[in-house]
Amino acid sequence: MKTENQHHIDWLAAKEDLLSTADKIALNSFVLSQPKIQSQWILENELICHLAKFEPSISDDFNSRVLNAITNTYSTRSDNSYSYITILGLTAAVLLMLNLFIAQNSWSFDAIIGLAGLDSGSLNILLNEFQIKYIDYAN
Amino acid sequence: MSEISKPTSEIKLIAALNRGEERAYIEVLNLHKQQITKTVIGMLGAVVEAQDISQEVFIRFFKNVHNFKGEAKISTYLTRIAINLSLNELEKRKRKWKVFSSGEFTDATLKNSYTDDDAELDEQLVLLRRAILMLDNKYKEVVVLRAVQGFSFKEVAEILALPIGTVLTRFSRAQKKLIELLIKKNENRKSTSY
Repeated sequence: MKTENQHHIDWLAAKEDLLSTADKIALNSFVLSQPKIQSQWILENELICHLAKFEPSISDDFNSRVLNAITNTYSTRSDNSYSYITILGLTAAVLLMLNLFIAQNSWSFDAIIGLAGLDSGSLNILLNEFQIKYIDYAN
Repeated sequence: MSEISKPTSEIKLIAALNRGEERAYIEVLNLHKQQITKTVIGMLGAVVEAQDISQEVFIRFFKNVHNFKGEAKISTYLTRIAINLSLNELEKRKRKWKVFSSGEFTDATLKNSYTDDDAELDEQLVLLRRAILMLDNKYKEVVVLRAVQGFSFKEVAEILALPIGTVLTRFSRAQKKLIELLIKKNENRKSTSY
């Protein structure tokens, strides 16, 4: 035996054809025996349906604010890619410097420009080489 | 809802959204902003944050549109986001103000949660909307989707990922609670007017 609440649930379900034939028959017999309850359900339902009348007012800049937020997200993402590239560049520079230090087995400033461990004699040879090449090129 | 039963225009719209066409964004906004705002206001009341949350619904949808496979209608998907964000906001409020922790609103809180627009609305409608705010979240979401939005019980079940029986039971209970609250409110008003 179903309670009044269960019949009410069935009554709601019947509105959208969600009820089995057996439940429909049970509901119909309940409604016929309790007409007052059904009219109360109808009244309550009408009252609740009142809520659908509500129409909120929406500001004119609703769309533009959403679109701006989307655009800002995309530009932030592109800013991020710039920072990734910068970090990548700096890392490469540091690795290159380390490579120079290790290759020359020196941690001095000269090592950064590849001139570590050069005495005045070898530096002169280097400069002379450069001068000869430069003069040849100029002539 | 299956892909087959979805209107062609919606499939085209999803494709345009995936291509990042601004025209498609505007179309989605124009088609659904009223409905989404209605859901959020139904859940939270006509508070200042309601519009921000409605906008956040669309922002989240557009940002994740590439993940949207079209297994549901756009309106269903957006409403789901709106309900989730509203529930998050209610949780935030609960933590922020102890006044909500008992699960009951005071009349002063309710009055504060409405703007002057309400003055233009039918008195009964205002009372009903206030009464909805006093419901538990699980009843509130069902009433908002069914009565405010006009979704079918099947659609409500789909949006909330609940069995249809649960949706029907909750709606029936919520309706009874709303009527009780309205009667109580009307009695209070009568007694104060004498």
